[in-house]
Amino acid sequence: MRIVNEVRALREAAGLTQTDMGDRIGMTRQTIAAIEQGRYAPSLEAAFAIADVLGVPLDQVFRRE
Amino acid sequence: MTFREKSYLVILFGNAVFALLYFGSLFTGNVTGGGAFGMFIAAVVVQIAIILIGSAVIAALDPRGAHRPADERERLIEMRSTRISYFVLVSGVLGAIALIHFGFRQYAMANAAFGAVMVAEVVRYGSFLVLMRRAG
Repeated sequence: MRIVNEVRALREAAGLTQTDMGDRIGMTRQTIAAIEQGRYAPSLEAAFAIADVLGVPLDQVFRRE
Repeated sequence: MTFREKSYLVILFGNAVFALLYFGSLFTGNVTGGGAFGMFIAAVVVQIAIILIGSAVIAALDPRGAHRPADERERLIEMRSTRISYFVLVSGVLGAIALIHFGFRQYAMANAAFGAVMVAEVVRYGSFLVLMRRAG
């Protein structure tokens, strides 16, 4: 099972940089970049935190492919 | 490069310098006995100085990164690199113990075991840096 995400599009729509988002959820810019590129699947806790920062439900950010 | 990567790079460099100074002097036979202990102390002092000064410089250049705890991806990669280095450590220590069957004395065995610890540390920090670049 592969997890894909819309973090990059939603983050850019929200006017946030990778550093801004990382600071808000306690992650490095590099980890945010890894999530956006699909190189790292975050924990459930981090996934909820990302969705909260983007102001959308979790299933709009992450989905199975 | 994250603060943690820079920090591990400094530690890796400090450990490499220590290993070159101490084990280099042992292998070349330039020091023996009490001289080896003196070289050990000197190498430790150089190692600590490199790590302290290097850490202070990177913390001054990136104070926000210095205060931020490791995130979940960094912790995961730390666990992976520790697991890799564990096998190196166990293999090295078993190899050092096996030296007794080849006529080596305690001094050589102790240095071999210490060398295994140093190699495992280098593998730990080195694999962390490689995995941070490559893996998720």
